[in-house]
Amino acid sequence: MTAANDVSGAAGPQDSRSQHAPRSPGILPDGVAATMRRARRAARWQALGWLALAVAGLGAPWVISLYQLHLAQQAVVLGLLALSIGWLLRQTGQLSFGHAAFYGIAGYGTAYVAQHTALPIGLTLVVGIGLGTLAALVVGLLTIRAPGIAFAMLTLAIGMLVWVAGGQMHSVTRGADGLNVQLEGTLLGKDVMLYGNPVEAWPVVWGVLMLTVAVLWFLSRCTWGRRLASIRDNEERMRFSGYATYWPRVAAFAASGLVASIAGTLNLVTTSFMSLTALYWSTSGLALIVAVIGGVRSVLGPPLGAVLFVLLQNYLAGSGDHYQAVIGTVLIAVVLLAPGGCTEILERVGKAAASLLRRESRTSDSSSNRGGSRAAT
Amino acid sequence: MFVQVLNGLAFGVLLLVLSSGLALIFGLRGVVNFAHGAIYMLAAYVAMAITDRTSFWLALVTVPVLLAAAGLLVDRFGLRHLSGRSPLDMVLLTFGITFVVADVIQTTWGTRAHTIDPPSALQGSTDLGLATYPTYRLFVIAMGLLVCAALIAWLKFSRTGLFVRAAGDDRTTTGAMGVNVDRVSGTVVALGFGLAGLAGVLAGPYLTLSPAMGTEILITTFIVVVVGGLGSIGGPMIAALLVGLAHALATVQAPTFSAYVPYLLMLGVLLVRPQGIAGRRTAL
Repeated sequence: MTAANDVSGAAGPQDSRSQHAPRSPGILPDGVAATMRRARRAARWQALGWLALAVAGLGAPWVISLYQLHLAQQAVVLGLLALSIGWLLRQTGQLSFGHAAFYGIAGYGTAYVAQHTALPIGLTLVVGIGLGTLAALVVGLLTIRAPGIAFAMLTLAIGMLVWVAGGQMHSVTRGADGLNVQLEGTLLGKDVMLYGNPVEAWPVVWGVLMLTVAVLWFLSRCTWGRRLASIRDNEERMRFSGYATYWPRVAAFAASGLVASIAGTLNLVTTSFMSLTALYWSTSGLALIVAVIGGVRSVLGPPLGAVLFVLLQNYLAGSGDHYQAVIGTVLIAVVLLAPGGCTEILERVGKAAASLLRRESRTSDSSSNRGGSRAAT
Repeated sequence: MFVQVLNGLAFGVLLLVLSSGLALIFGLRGVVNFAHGAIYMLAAYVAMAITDRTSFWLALVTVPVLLAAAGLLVDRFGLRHLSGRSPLDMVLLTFGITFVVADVIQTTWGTRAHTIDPPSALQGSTDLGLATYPTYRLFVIAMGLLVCAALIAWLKFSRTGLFVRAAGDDRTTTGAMGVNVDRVSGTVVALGFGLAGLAGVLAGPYLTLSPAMGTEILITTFIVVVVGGLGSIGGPMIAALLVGLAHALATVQAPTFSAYVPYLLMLGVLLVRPQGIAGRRTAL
């Protein structure tokens, strides 16, 4: 009995992210090959889970009300921004407080191009997103070498610099009044104004999120992503081993800025409105909190955190709007108790339930069959 | 010009008190305290409440002590638990505190701006020969410089100050020498919070109280610490006065440009000398 319990306790599932999976397991020791087989199997399950979620999410307009769909759309935009910050944190270990700048530049850039040029709408959006990404690239070139905390402070200062500039460029941003934008043209077979309606916009909004999740998931698993993680863990060692450590991180920062820019432009398309708060540091800060609460170790964590946040904010709006205090307390609790965020909590619950089930089936087996059949398999 | 220099000095001294607390906490705990601005703001509001009921002088004494006690609690029940983990976790913890404090202030005192009247002894202006200058601001400058002199003396000559400097240099070795590093860290975090509290009380009658004041000063303080050099105490002190003067002079000489000045100063310093005026690269 005790032996059986020990085995069930020790044989936890392996971490699927910890090993790179080369194509030739033949030359590897058995244990490593088995781990890699398991990692590949886990990856397959994750891909299937992603597909199921993507398809299921498309059905949301038939299940939830218009108001809830509106909230879901907000959650997706926030989730994308959180994803950009969370992915950067996970992949490079660097905490950015300046992503609101890219989010806002993309939004204002799209609005500016739409108002001042006659480009088709698709190209307008691409230019807007491009502007945000370009800003991220420049910031990345300047700051990426700064270690840990200095990087957080630098990105914060640059983000605030952009905010100050945004307040002064009144002709472009309309300052604190906010900017109403009328986009014109046909996007993906629909008049772009129709995207103001959550039901019309939902397939696009959801598709963008799921696609981004998939791309970032793939990027974390490819050679480049592994190299980034190695640089995060020991930059000096990587440099010593002959790998470039500067450009991969700049590229990662630009990629993360691209996702933030997509979020900014998506926000503009669905709300037709930009305000200066989009550039303020609290936008980055909120997205960061959401990402940490959701859990940055998984690409689904930040969007999950965004959904939880929007639900919480909506729930608390009726009772005096103390969401700042609640979200701050939740953040403190998560950092102290479950650094992996909600995804870690879910994982722990899942593991506990699995081992409980296993133990229960084992005890019931051993009481009815005297443990014989179970031990043989 | 003379008045502008004094204005710069008054703001610089405020930054001086704040940034030395921030730098001390960074040296001992390796964490940049994102709650520093929130603590400063909380101090200003509590000082306002106390001044309204009793007197400003009572607030000047009690508020820093109260916040130092709060700092002790944050260190004991928060930062100490995270000492084995990534410093970013500590940043997130202090960031969470910022949100809670901001909510408490908005709930208790609302979002509109408040002011505190300076005590009667410090109202009016003083004739300095070259110009007359508000007495309260002279008091702020004197208090700030006095506190910083005391802080430097404490670090240089006291036993605990020696431990603080040693632990800032090498935490592990200092611990191995028999110094209770956790206790020293607790003292320093409490001191840092207390200094932020003092800055908040001093700022009350001088600047305007609003829920945005914490963030504004926090970012300027970060700039000061980065320009001065992370891991140094003297560097941020010089940088604080520099940033204060640059801020005051730019406000008058180039008003449209003044908001950019601190950020450009920071970018310039980081591009030319990434470790700041007196920082050590290894401290990061």
